[in-house]
Amino acid sequence: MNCGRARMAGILILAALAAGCASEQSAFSGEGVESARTLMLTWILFAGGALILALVCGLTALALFGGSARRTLSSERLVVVGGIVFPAVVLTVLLFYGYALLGAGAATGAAADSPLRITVEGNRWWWRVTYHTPDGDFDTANELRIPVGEPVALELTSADVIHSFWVPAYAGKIDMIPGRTNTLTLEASRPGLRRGQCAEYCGGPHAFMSFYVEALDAEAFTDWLASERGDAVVGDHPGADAFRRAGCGACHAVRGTDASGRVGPDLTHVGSRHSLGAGLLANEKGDFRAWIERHQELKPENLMPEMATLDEADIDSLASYLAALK
Amino acid sequence: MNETSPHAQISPTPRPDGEREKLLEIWATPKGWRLPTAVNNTVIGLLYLGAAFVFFVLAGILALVMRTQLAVPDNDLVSQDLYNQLFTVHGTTMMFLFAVPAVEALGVLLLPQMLAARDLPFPRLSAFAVWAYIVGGTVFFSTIFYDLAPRGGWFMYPPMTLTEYSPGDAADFWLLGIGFIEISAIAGAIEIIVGVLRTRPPGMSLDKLPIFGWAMLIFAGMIVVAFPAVILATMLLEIERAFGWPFFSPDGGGDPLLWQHLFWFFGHPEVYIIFLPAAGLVSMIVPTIARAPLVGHNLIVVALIATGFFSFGLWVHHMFTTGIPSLSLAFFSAASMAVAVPSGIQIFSWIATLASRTKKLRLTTPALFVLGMLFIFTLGGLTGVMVAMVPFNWQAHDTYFIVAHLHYVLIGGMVFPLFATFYYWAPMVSSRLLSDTLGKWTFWLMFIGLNVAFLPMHLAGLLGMPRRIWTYPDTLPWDGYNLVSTIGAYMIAAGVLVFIIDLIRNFRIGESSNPNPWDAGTLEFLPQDVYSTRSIPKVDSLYPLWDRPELAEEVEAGAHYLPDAPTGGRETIVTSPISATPQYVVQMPGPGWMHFFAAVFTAACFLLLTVKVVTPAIICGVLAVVCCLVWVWTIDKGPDAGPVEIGGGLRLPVYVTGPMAHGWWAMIVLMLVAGSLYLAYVFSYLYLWTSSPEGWELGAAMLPDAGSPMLSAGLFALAVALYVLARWALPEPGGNNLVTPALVILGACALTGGVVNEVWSHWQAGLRPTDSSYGAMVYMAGVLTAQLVAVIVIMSLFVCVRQMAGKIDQVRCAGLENTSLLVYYTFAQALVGLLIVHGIPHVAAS
Amino acid sequence: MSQSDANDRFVRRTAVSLAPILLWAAHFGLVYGGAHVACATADGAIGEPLADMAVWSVTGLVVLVLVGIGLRARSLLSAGASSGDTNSNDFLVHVVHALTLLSLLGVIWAGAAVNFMPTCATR
Repeated sequence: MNCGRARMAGILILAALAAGCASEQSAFSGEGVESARTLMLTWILFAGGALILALVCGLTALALFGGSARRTLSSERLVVVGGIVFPAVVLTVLLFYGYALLGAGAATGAAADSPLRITVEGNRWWWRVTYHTPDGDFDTANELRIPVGEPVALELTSADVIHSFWVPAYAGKIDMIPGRTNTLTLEASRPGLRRGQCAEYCGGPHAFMSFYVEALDAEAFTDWLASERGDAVVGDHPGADAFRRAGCGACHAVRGTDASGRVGPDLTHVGSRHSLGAGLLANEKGDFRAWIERHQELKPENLMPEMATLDEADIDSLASYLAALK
Repeated sequence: MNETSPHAQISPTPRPDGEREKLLEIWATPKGWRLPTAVNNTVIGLLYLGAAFVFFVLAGILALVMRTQLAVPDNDLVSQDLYNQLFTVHGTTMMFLFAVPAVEALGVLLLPQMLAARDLPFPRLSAFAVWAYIVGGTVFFSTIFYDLAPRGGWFMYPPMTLTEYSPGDAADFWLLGIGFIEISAIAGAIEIIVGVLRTRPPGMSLDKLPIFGWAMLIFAGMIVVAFPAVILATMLLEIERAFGWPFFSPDGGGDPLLWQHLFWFFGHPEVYIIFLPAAGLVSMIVPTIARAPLVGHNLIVVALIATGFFSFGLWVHHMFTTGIPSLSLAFFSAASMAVAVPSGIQIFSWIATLASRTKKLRLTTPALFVLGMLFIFTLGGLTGVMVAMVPFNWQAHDTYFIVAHLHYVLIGGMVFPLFATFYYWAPMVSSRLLSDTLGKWTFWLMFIGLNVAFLPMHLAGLLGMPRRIWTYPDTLPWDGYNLVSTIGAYMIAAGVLVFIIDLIRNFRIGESSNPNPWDAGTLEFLPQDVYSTRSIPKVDSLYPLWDRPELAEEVEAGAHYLPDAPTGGRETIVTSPISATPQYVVQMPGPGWMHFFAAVFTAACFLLLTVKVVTPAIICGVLAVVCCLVWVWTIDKGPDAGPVEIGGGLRLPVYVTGPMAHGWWAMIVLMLVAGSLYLAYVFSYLYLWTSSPEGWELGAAMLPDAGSPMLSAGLFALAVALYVLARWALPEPGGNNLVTPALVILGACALTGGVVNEVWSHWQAGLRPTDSSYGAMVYMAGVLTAQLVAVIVIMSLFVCVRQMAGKIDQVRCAGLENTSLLVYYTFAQALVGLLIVHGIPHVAAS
Repeated sequence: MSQSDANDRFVRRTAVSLAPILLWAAHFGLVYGGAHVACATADGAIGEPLADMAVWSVTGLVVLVLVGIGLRARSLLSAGASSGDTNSNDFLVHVVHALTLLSLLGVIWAGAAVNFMPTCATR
């Protein structure tokens, strides 16, 4: 009687997969070296689990409705074979497979010797991203770009509470803990734009702490790195004045200007990012406007003060300035 | 009466007139406004279970609000801040105010009946625990209505829950709520351990103990080991919040992961603390469904014991993503696999028992819930094996996959057996059975609803949906799954509603006309009244009611042990722990107000402390202690009656002291609790040392001279000697002297001096608890010993007063004996503390 | 009748009955605690082969003791006991045997992990 449900579960799983592969934040996509390894494991676990569930249901049905055939199940032998021998064998195989995966992960972690190191620091409720390149360090925020096919060592830490860094398409999550630095080796196997999200509840707008990871071909990545490292490229924009008057530079940095705050996200190339407000909004001028005017409504409890001193014209020029920081 | 039966006529029948009436009078339940004074396990157990069920419904309503919020993307039905409070209160209430109390309530309600004991060994203790829990739980839950509820999640990870990120009192209310469940869980554990080991009926040696008794024994043992870890964690967190001792904050050398280790060292076994009793219930119901003995009974006992132990090797399983080295993760993965084996044993044993059934299959409501449990729990167990695989866990952790997994395990593993229990054991407390028709509606709504609600969540989680998010954008493909889950949640709610209607229509407190409607084989289905069974049967098999069909009639006729009340008060038989040989008749207290007031004042004290109204809080605390003392004043009655006849030619004493006494056993369990607490402290000390060794290297330079710890150690040793002498100096019965009080007071002073000297020497050396995690840990050792010394001082004063009142002598000395046990323990703990505090920094510096 | 006989020699028989699973706990604590301390304090100071060897020896030792307890369960349980209570003793022997089996699984599974990965590496 219970087993109709098992079939339904199977159908649901298949239906999900179709949707899953198309998703930008899915563990089913397996587009990284680690996530592909884990996806294989996931399928094995799902298939094995379904088989064992079917077995238990079948035996229960036999025990309940099996006529005289059920007698074969009625001895302590079933408990010993089904409850001890069978799990001992299955779990030994599974456990050692898991150990092998762990060993493989540890090996790639140790071997990763990329010239590129990236530090990601969790902040309430955004991500500070620092690229350490042979030509010096620079900051960006809420977005990582990585080269395809190259292991990238991420150093993960936190400025305040515990967060967790998770891009399911590329790898499993790892926590960002104040006072510690955790490492994660990320390797994307094909180009694409994938979404990540904070997975450890961090209070307030935890739901709005997302980010993007874009995997680029080697050439595109080199170009991006060169331009991202550079200063802001917006000459005499009228919004720059509004930015200064509103005191934005006390918290935000725009390299190449006198804005050098480190409390909030770096805005040097904010106009070229894929999202605003840590994955909350798109990145057009209208979104900047919305953010400046209503950020406490859009992302309650975020730590940016209300911008009450700005008038309509200021907001407009400020929004276009920020959108122009490509 | 069957004349050939070996047990017939243990007590001669027919019994004298008026004997039953006397029992009824002695065990009568107080009525009306005196109801809070009641201590009968059936009354208290029912109250306990009822309160737990109310919290289940309330927390369930919070879940419905959350599910409604998540039904569609970008919803703003509830605010972000309210949602964060909702899931914190939902999780905390379900785990701490529903699940643990509910299984403990079943222990209080069912155990004495299964053991045919007249009551649990410490009736007022469980009553105290229940009232403290009801008052404290109600206050905690109501914070959700005043925007005062904590927002830290039920796991309350620092640093988010430190004052810097969680100012105000909300987080303290969480600590308060936990405080009550800590008190009532420990009280319950003492009660259950002593109850199972010492109040079994004559002849029920351990091999004949029903599985539920085993499950509760292991449950209680796990509480003794696991709860102290969370007690310590909550103490540390509250101290850091109130006084800034840096245990968890990395700035002062603390470590946020210490909280996670302590919390999950409690938190993972907690899952099994909830599951084991429920599995025990299933192992009781399945044989009745099959009307055949449980296949592999001994293996089930082993499975329960093994689960109890293995579950303590799983805690890091919740910390796979914290960056711990892979090899350590692998050890925990191994233990997570090991714990799956005992679950397999139980499931296959239930299947084998069902297959061996001797009567026609009837799918009654309890049977349906048991079968539902079998399916749901198996599925939850399988996803449990999945998350025990470390790489899979890295993806699934903190996503809706886990939400699905834990609800399968907890609802399948605990709620379904609980509902089976409601239907199965209703005849013990209700004069009418619950409706089988409505029961089936309840089952199918809950069973289908559960799968509709939680099956899709597995996929939502792997599609990237993290836990504890109050809303999600419509650009992600989660909306369909969430809508389906919400529909399922409402189906479960409908099922619970049907059950409540059934309760209202059919539940009537009273004795059932047919005590054994299911033809079950165990003692709780003997005819019952307020005094439990009319006489206490001699047991010689696992299913006495099946093996000796005439037993019910014999017991009811008073033909077995203790058919009367030889001391004229409440009493039951105490038997030896393994072979259940009768040892003595224990006199037990009846109704009273003091445990009730003690509970209310304890609750008031904690509450007022939470909102930082200190003076009234202290007054309430003192009143609570006074109430406790008044309550225990009358308990040690001494040998006020000679050995009494209990039937079968057995004459038993009514008063014993020393290792045979049930009070002595309770003290030993309490010492085990204190020992676990201290072990958790030692772990924390060593952990923080490895995590910030600098503090310890600096600390070595600030240690007091070796003379100071020597002095403290000497004072502690002196105290032990004084208490030994005090026992020796007790007067003969009827006599009186001042030597014992003088020695006891001196002993208490020596203990106090030892602690004060230790703390003061560190202060003199310039160490402050707020300086570093090292300093905080040094002073924490003092705090832990000081709290024991405070208890000893109060107990010692109590002993002195009793001695002067002529109530303690060479024979009647349980009060002094129990105090001395605590003194010996304190001596050992303090010595270990001195060794660590004064030894480890030298190791660190070398 | 001495006090310990009155209490069915409870402490001794409980200790023997639970010995296998207590050994599992001790083994678990040792290997986890050892690995933690080795990696947290002496980072790299303890050589890889040495750490592996330590885990293997502890595991081997515990397995031997477990087998010993399993084989000698009956005599350990009944040493010096009065002969009256054979039912309980048969039951406890059964418990020791099954617990030994489960503990062996747990110990071997945990011990085997060192073969698959370096001592202190994370992923």
